[in-house]
Amino acid sequence: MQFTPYAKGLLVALSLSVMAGCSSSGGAQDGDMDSASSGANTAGMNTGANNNANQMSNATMPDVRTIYFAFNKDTIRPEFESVLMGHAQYLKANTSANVVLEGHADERGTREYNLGLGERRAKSVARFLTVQGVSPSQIEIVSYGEERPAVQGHGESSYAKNRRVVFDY
Amino acid sequence: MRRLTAWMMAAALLAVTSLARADLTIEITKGNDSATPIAVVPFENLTGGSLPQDLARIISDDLARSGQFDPIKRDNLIALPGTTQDVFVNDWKRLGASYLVVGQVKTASNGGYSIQYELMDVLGNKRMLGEVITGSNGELRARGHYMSDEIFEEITGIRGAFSTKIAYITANGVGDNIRFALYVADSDGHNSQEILASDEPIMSPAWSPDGKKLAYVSFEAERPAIYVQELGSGRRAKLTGFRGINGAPAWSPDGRKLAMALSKDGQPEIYVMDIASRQFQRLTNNPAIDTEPDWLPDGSGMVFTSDRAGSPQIYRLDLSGGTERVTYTGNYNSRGRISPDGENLFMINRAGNGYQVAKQDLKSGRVTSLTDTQWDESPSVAPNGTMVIYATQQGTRGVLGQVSADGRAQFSLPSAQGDVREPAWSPFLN
Amino acid sequence: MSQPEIEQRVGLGLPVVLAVGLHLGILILTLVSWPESEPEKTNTTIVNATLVSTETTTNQAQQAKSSKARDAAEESDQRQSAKEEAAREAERAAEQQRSAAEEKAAAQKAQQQKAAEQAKAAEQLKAEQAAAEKAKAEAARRAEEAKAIALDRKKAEAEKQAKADALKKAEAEKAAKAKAEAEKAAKEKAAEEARKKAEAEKAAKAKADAEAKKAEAEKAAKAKAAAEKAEKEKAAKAAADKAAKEKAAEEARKKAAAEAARQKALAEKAAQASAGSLDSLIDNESDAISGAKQAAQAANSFENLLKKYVGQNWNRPSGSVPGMTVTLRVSLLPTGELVTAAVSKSSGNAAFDRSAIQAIQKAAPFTEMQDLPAGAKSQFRNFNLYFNPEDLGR
Repeated sequence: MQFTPYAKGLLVALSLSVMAGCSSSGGAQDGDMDSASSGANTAGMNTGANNNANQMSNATMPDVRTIYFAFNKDTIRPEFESVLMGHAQYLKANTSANVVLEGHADERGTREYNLGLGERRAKSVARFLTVQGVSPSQIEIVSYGEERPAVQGHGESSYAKNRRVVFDY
Repeated sequence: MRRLTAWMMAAALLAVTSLARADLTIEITKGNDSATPIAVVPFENLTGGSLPQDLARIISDDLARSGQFDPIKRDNLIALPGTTQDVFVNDWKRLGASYLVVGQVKTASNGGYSIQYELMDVLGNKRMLGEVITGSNGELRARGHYMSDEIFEEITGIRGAFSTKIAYITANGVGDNIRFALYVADSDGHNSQEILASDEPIMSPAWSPDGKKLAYVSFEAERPAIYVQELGSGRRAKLTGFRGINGAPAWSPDGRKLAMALSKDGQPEIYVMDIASRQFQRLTNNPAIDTEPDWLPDGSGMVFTSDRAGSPQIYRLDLSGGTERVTYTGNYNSRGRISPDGENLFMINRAGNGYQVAKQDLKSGRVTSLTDTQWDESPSVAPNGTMVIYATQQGTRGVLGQVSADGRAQFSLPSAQGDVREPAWSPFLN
Repeated sequence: MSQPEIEQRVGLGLPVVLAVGLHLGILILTLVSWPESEPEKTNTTIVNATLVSTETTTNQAQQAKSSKARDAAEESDQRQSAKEEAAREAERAAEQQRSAAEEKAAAQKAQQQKAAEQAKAAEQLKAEQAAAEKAKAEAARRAEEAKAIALDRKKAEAEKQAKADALKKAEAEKAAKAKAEAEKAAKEKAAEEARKKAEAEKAAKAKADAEAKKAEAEKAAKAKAAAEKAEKEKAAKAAADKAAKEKAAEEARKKAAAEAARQKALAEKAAQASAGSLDSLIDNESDAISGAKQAAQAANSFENLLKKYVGQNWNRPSGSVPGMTVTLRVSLLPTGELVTAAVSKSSGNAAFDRSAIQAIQKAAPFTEMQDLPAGAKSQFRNFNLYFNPEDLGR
């Protein structure tokens, strides 16, 4: 039939847009992050459980202060959303608290351009927080590019640990 | 009838004389380029004491690093003449040397040294250059570089850049515990002097065109800001302190302006600051990262890095208006540096899996890779356009490398303590 | 009357049926084919994942529960037997103790059961939570994958476009290069053709000369024959006048025949003579050619040798650019040694000029010169050396 391909495509597009609208803001996932991501996952679930348990308490500052990014990307990965939610809750509940978001990049490429990449990542986190209702006056951004690596070394495992944004309260 | 015969005879004569050989011209269309063999003989020491510096070693190392010369190994030198009068030219012809440098060192009347050096054309068997210079103990390395400059220029016609300096940054430590420092040293890495030390990152040193000041980025105020420091006095001024990135300072050829990258309006853009009036002019306006500017030698515009096309490429903007993309080879080109004659662009190009120093001919567009290592950064061109210094990795340590602009020779510089990065080559200083 | 009615009924019914059938058909087709286009993997993995996980957790819970109950039963058994032994020894206190012990055991058992139930409830809750979270994660992952697919498609398109652009540019470069090469080839071809043309002209000229000579010989012979013929006619006329008129016709005929024969013989002789002179001409020429050929070959090979050695020793300074040329005036001894090499037309760049002089200085002496025949050798005593690099890259 002539318009079945179009119909297929339209229906697929419809369902995709419905799912996209329903899901939270996701991003592409590149790079292997097994150990770190599982660590972040369990931490995330703990804080999630804590938050569920103590709904409106301004208890402790979230434990997890670092989130990681895929190569050349500044999109927030879904496994870190709960971490960011935790920080957002904390900042909203403690309006006198200020945080400096430090953006970083891995060593590849040139230094000043990597300052730009680190800043993009920190801005991405800041956007998430402000969308959650955190006041922009509580957030400051500094990019260190590749100047302060967490781990020395070449290879994807080192790079993955350096592509990060750190919450510095 | 007579006239006809006469004409015929004349024609015949003409034919005969033209047939008798036209001068032969042989055409040579191909050559065989390689570094020129040169013999630099250890200078004869007539001082009666030991010399604190090996002048012939300084000269031969300088000439080798330029990529144009191939100094003959000292062990293979068959004779050690001190002057051209003691030279048997056939010895050196047999050795394959095209040029010969000899010298003598005596003590000078004021307590320093008197150095005589001579340059000889071996194949033509004639003396090309000869001079007597003086210098104190501490000036001997500088005199060595001076002689290298003179010899280099006499043979190649290009002004030597061995008496220039380099600035670079060192880092010791990891994570939140790193000690940063900014150094200035001779072009061969010797005689390093610390200019600034800090617990916060220092980046992007840039020499003023008169060679007297360095601009750089320092995070000492918890945020990146651009400073200018006078090398003689150590005095410095903080020129910017905006929110966000303040980076990549680049001096205009007349020394009156600084181009830079500022992200105060949302993302890094190229600005030009008039140093005297502290007035700013914004030159780019788009959501991409625009950074790493470098002025064209005539001051009419600059090249810069932008990822407006999706990944970093190098663009040229004219101050009179208009921006044009320059690089099309590969999907990562950044940190462009224009050669002093304006004909070549040196940059970092990602090819395959590595980030390498590459050169693009701005007329033909042809790109040549100059290095084959994987994590190269920060290329900086010598003021005579013949050599490029850059940062690279040896294992996990940052070191400085040098490659001749034609790609023939590669050297790494004696490495200072820790991680060395971000070299910047000074302009001519004499 | 009935017919049109029937027709009308048929007319209405069939299209309706067809229309409905068409719509149904479309619906079915879309419904039937649509699931195929969905990524099958996600459906099956989701189903598998849930099944497996729920089974394992319930299994584990059941196993935990049963092993716990087993342990509890063992413990209570052990305790009871100990209590019985103790009671046997002291019977008075045993009854009270037994009852107390029984009460204690019962209480403990109740406690353990309660604990086991609580554990089971907690585990069930945990399992439910885990299942819920997993389902959520799977749903999110599915959504993200679909998004990623769309993103990847977009990215692929962009890459394709970029590739096409790059390809276009590469092709343009290639075309330009090909054009340059074609021009170069054409240039070379033209040069060769010119050379060929010159040679052809030379050959043609030689041929024309020979032919002209041949024509002249023929002409001379013809003229000679004609002259003789005229003489003969005169004599014949005189003889005829002397002789009788009656004999004149026959004699004339006879004489005419004799004359014709004589003319023919003369013509043949002339032709032979000219042919003979042409043959000797050709012989002389081939001698000259072979001698000249050898000399030319020797000179050619020496020139190539000179070119090769000088080129091998020509080390251009790094500032050299295409377009730089320098001409030297070179003089060699008959032994091939270099006497002088001087710049006659400079490139404007002293270092480039010097590199040319050094090239011939390094390449000399050319000992092969001594083997050249004298004619060829003289060419190379004084000549021009024109350095025109074609291999300087830009």
